[in-house]
Amino acid sequence: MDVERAYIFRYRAYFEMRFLNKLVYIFSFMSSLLLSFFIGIPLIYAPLITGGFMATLYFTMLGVIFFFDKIPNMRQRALEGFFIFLSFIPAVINPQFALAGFISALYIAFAPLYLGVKHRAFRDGIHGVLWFMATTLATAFLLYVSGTWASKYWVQISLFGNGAVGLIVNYMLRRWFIEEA
Amino acid sequence: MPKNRNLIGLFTEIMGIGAILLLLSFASQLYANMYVDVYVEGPPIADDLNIYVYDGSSWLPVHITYVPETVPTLVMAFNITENMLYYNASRYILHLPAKAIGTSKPPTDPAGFETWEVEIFNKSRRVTVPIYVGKRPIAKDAPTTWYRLGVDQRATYRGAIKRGSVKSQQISGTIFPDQYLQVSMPQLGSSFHVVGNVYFKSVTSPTSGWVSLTFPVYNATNDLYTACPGVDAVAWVGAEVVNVTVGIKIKGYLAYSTLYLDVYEITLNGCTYVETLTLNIPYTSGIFWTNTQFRIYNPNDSAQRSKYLGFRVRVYGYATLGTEISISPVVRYLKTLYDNSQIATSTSTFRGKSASSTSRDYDYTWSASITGKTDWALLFGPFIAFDGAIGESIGKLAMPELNIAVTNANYPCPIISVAYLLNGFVIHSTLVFPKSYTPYYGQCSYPSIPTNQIDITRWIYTVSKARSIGGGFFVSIRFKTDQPNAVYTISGKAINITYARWTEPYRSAYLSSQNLPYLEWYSYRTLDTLQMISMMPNATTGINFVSRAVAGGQGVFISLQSNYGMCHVSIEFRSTSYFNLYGVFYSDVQKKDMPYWADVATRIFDAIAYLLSFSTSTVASYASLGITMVTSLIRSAYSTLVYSNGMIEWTKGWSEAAPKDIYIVVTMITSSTTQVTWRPAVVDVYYNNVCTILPIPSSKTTMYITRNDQVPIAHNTIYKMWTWRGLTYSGTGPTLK
Repeated sequence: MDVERAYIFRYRAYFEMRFLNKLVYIFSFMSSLLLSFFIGIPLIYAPLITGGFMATLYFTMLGVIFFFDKIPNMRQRALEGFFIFLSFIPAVINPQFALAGFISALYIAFAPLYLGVKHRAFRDGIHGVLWFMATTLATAFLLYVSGTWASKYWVQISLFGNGAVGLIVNYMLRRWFIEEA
Repeated sequence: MPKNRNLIGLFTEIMGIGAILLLLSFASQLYANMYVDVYVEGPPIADDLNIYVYDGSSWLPVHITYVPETVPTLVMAFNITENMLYYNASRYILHLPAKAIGTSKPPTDPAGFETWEVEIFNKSRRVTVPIYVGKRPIAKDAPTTWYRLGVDQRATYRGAIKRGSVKSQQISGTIFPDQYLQVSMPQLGSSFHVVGNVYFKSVTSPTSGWVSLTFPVYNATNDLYTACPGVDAVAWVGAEVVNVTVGIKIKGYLAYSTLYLDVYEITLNGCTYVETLTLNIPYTSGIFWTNTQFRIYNPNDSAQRSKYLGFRVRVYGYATLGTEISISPVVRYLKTLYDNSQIATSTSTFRGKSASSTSRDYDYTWSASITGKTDWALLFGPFIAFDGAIGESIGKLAMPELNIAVTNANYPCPIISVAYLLNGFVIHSTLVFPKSYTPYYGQCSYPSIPTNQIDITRWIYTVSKARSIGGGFFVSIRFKTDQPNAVYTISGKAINITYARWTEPYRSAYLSSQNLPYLEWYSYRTLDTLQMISMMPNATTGINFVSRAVAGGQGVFISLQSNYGMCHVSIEFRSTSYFNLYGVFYSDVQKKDMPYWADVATRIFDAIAYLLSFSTSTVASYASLGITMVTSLIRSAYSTLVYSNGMIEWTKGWSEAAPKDIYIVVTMITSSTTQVTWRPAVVDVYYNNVCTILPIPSSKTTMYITRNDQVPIAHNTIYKMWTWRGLTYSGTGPTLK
């Protein structure tokens, strides 16, 4: 295998991995957006639906942070998502087990942030803090602009704001940090 | 072979002789009741009249069978087409007693009766028979005219009625700004008639032969109930009774039968037998009713009126095995209005299949498209037949504006005949002419039919109760044209039935001089029950939904029962006073509260989610969203009861089994009379092992509640409640602790 072909092969594999990231992001983002429309209906609150929603949120979060990069250990992440879903199954038997969902809720929010710093999706702490602040401002702006809409579609706006705007902010910050580095 | 044939022949012969003998034995009795059936078409409409003939010595009743027409009908609720029987009250068969033909005139005409003549056409000659028509029966114990819903009935002769005024119900033609009707509130102190049903269970004949049947009182439980100690099956009727009419439904065969209505007076010391009213049941099977107004007491004699009454119903006759008989006496009371809280207004609305909890009634538009037929009908409903309806015209039906559009039509544009029918009876009909007789590219335009107000009369109510114990109303609009290939599209808005209803279950005379209830009043209660049947095509899997509001001094108890489990109930509830949702109870009479751990957990999670909500960053938002989801999950594990935008929303918890009955308690802090409006709108029913949203017709009730601290609480007594399919007895309900 000559150098050129090996490069193409590696490039393709690398491309496919990056493509998978985007696929994970788009799929989970869209499905969480879709699920969020049913949040107002009390009947959907069943442990398994909540579990599915939480797992979807986890992948959305991973997708936002690692969109321009590669989700580290994808298989392990998929397993984590599955465990988040599984953690709601005991609640079917006894509602008290739903309390465990609190840990899952914290996990889906903070684990991707930790992974982002660890696997250098964020170049350093300042990158992370800037991302945090920029998404805050962008979403606050979005909520402000949406006005009366916000009260009715709060979940959708916040999902969209954090999913899509967070992605743009991520891109811009990466241009600063990575291109200039 | 010949031997066998002989045997068979012999057997047939014996059977034949037996049959002849049997027939002869019947014929001797039949001869006494021989009828000549005369088919009459055209006015006068026979409903609500007592018709007699004179046989030379006595008065004999003329029974009437209405002749149906079969019309393909689109049942709007299910979007299915069924052949339905419709009755035009001016097409009927007179059952003239044969003895009365050709007899001499009576010495004197009965007072208040008109003499009409029936001309019977018999090929070569005509026979004229005088009939005597009046609003009341000739005498208290005289046999009475029975009306019957015929099924493909044929008569031996044709005839025509001469004389007699045309008594057709006219539409008043009022146009309402919104689709809700207003039933005017009577003046305080005025007296008026209230119509209510007395409920008996149907009875099946245990043998084939002569039977004597006593009808048990209908109640929620299967207990045998009687209002009179020592006398079986006496139903509580109450005081201020003026008269009673009876509806009967016979499934099977019943002949030579007599209905006995035993009247008892109920006192604190027991029961006293008053009298027995006797009615001869003329037909063998079917649905029929009397319009006989048995005057129980003199309505002007207040001392007589104030007596409590009880009814017992018995039937004696020849029945085949398994014949099912239902008796439904409809009682008319004379009530006096002392307080607005004695009257409620109920509105029942047809909203159709696609109605949701969010759509307002008057926003909803139904439409139907028909082609390939020249005669068809649209059926709306079912609506609810309420008890406690007030007045002769017990309710009003609001027909919305109808829009007709015709496409694919040939020249000339068809003239459309439109008839409104209530419970299968023609109430009003009109012709709709096209704006232009020349179709424009096959399209014909018609002026819209304006809104109409139709009165529901007492006899329609009696018919409804005769059909089924529960009763109910359905509205049909029948169309006739002459172009089968054209496409007819009919559209309109919601159809409403509005009633003023007597909600106070006691005699009005129990109000003291200060207009306060005393003695028999357990606590002030306004009762209101209604039943909704979901729009399921199959009656056996149909979902019944019964809702009842009980207003006490402390608030309103709304109970909901269903034959299926319930997942989500939304009740429109508005009050002119401040109120508070106290809680929800299931049949185990335990208040359904969130467990302590869940309460604490959700409070903590709420606080964390609240803190996180200050940051709108992705991480915080996702954490907040996740925590909110978990909080909602824990909260929704148990039943939730919330009030928002005028709606009480109850939802079953996911960890709970769907309950079949719930009580929602609304506490109310008021010292004055409060106007309360409530309407159970949509229920998610636990159907096929899943919570399913089903369109259930809604019904709105407005009532007045008075808080009364001076009411003695401890006194518990029996009373008649205005219920729909109901209870004739009630003890104490769930009370606030």
